[in-house]
Amino acid sequence: MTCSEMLGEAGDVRDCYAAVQQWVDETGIEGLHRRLSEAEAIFRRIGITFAVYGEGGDPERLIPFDLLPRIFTAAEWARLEAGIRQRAAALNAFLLDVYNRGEIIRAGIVPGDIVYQNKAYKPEMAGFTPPGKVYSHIVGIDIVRTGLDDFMVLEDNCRTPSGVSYMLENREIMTRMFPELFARHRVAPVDDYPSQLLRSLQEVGPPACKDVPRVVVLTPGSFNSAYYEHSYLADLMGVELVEPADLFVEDGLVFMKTTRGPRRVDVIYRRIDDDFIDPLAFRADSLLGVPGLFNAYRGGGVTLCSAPGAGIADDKAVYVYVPEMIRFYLGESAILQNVPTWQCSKPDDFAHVMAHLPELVVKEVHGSGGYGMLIGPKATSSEIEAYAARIRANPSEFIAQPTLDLSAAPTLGPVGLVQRHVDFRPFCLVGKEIRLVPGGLTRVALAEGSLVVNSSQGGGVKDTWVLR
Amino acid sequence: MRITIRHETLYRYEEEASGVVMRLRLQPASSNAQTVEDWVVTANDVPIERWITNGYGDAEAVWRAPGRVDRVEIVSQGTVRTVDCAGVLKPAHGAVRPQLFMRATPLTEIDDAIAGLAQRARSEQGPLSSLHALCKLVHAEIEYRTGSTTMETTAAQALAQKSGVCQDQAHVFIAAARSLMIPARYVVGYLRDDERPDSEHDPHAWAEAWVEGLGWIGFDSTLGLCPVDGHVRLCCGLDAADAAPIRGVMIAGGETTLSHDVQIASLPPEDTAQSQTQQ
Repeated sequence: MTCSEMLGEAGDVRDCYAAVQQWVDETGIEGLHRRLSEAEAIFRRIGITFAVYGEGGDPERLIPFDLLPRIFTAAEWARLEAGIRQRAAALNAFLLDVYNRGEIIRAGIVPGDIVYQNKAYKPEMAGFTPPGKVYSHIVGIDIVRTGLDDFMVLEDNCRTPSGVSYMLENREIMTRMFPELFARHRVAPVDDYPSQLLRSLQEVGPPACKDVPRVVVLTPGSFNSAYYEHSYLADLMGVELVEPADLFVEDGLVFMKTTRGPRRVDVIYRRIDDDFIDPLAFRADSLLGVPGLFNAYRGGGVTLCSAPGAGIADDKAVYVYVPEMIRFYLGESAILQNVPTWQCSKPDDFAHVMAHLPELVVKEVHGSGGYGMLIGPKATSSEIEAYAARIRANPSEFIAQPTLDLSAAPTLGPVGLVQRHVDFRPFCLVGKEIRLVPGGLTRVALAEGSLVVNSSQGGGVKDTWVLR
Repeated sequence: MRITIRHETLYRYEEEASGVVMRLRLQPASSNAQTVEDWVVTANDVPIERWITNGYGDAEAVWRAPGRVDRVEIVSQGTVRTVDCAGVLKPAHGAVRPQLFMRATPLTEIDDAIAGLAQRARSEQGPLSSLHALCKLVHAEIEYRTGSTTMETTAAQALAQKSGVCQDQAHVFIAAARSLMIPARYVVGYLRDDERPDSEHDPHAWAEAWVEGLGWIGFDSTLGLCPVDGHVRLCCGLDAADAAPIRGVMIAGGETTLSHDVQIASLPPEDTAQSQTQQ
C-alpha cells in the first residue's frame, strides 16, 4: 500500500499535517483554487518558467506549483540530513580517490572498468587535487520514500544539479501569500542558501588567489532551459553572471571582460557540461567554451565548481557501490539506503531482469530526466519486447530496479485533495565544511497513479517544510 | 646520443584570425632514457614559460595570440641527451592509472582482423613476449607508405589496406595490444634517423604498453623495435588525436584557411665522451 505523507498508519492525519488540514478546511477547495491562480500569476510575472536540469522540454512553460506543502518532522529531517551529509562526503572522497591512487579499485570493491572505461571519467583530471579536495560542491541527492520510516536514494547528482531556485521561490511565494499558515508552524528557513553557497564557493579559491576570491556564475546563455536559475542565483549571491565569451585565459589566469577592463576571476560556478567548457581540453567542436580554461584550472589559477569529471561519481553504474564507498572511506554504514539495483552487465542480474521486465523499472546507465526508461507495470507487451531487444543488444548500458511505490502527498485536485506521488531533492553544499539548508525541492507527479515526477513528463513542484 | 632538434609549425590565415588560442605539448620531459639539456618553445617569437603537467604526465601550455594575426609560428628547439633503455620508461610516467589506456577510441576500434592479428602475436611466455611479437608483426604486415593514409584513417582501415605511416602502425599496435587486455597508448616524439639528411626528418610516433612489474615500455612498429637512443619522447594519449602536440581554436573570420609546415633538423652528437659517462 502506498505510504501517505499525511496520514499515519491508522489513517489519521499526522500531527505535522494537522494545521495544514485545518487550513484546507477553513479555506475550502474553491478558495484554494483562487489562491493558486494568484500564485501562478506571480510565478509568471517573475518569469520562473524553466525546466529542471537535463529534462528538456519547453523552457517557457510554467511548471505547475502545488499549494500544499510537503512536510518533514524534525526527527525525519535529522536522519535525512545525516544521510545526505554522509553521502556527499563519500562521493567527494571517491572522486579524490579515483583521480589519484584508485584505492577502492585496487581493493577490489569497485570494478576498474566502470570507472576508467566510463566517458564521465576525465583522464585530464588524473593526479590533480582541486582546492579543498572538493570535486562536487553542490550535491543534489534524489530521495524517495516508500514507508513512514523508509527513505531511499534514487540517484546522486554531482555535476550541476538544478532546481534549487524552486526551493527558494516556492518558499517565498508561500510565505508571502499565506503568512497565517507559517504563523501556525515553526518552519526552518531556507533563504540563506545563496549566502551559504557563496561561502562554500569562496572557501575553494585557487592557489593563485591570495584575497577573497571573486566568484562568478558561468551560464551557457539565455537559450538554456535553466538560465533563469543561473541569473537568479548570481543575483542572490551578488556576483556576476557571465557567458563563455565574457571570459578569457591569460598567463594561467582567468579574466572577465568588463567596461572597466579585465577583472580577475577566481572561482567559477559553471552551469555548463564538462564537454563544453573548454574546446582545447574537451570537445573541440564546442563553440561555448573558454579556450585554455582547463589548463588554468589545473595550473591553480582558477577553481571550477564542479570539477570536470565529477560526473563519474553520479554515474548509474557507480551508484550501486555508494553504500560500499561510505564504508570504505568513512568507516560508517550508509544511513540512507540505495534502491536495490540489478546491473544488466552481470549475467545473473541480466537473467533476472529479462525474466521480470513487467515488474521492473529499467534505465539507461547514462540517461537522465526520465527519458528512455521502461516502467514495466505501465508498459504494453510490445513496448516491453522492444525494450528487451535493446537490453539484449547492449546489456551493460542498462540497470533495473523494482517499481517503487513512492509515497504520496496531499495535492490540490479539481474537486478536493488528491494523493500524488512525490520525490525529494536536497542540495548539499561542500566547501571547507559540508552545509545543508533544511529543505529542498519536492517534485510531484500530477497525473493520478503516475510515478514520474520529472517536469518534462507532467511533474509539478511543492514547497518543502522542515519543522523545528 | 646527443640530439639537437628544431621543430617549426606554421599556421597561415588567409584573413586575419582573431581569438586564436593554442594548447601546446611540445616540452619533452627528462626520464631514464632522455635528459633535456635545454629546450625553448616560442609562439610568434614569444617564449612560452608557463607549463603545467597534465594527467598523462606531459607538459602542457596555453598560448593566446594578442589581437588579430595572419600567421602563427611555433618553434620548439633544444638539445636532448639520450641513452638506449630498451624502451623501458622510468619513473612510471603520468598520474593516470594504466587501466585507462584500455579505452577504445574511434581511431583504435578493435575489429576482427585486429583481434586476429593480436592472437597471432599472443605468446605463452606472457605479455612482454606477446608485445615484442606484435611489434614485429605490425612492422611486417603494414608497409610504410607515405600518403597512403590520412589523419583520420583508423587502425582497422590501415590493417585492411596493409599500408600506412607511423601513426597507423602505432594505432594498429595499440588496438591489438588492448585486445590482448594490455593497456597501450600513443606516443609522439622525434626519431633521429642516421640514414636521412638532417633537414629531412618528420615528427615520429610509436606506442607504449603497460607490463605489470616493468611499467610502460615503448614499441616502435615502424622500426619493428623498441625505442633506441635515436628516439626523443614528447607526449602521449589514447590515440593520435588525443596525443596531438598542438591543438588550436580561433573565432572564424570569413574565408579563413589553415596551413601547416613542419620541419625537423637533427644533428649528430657533439660530445660523445660526456654522453658515455652519462650511461
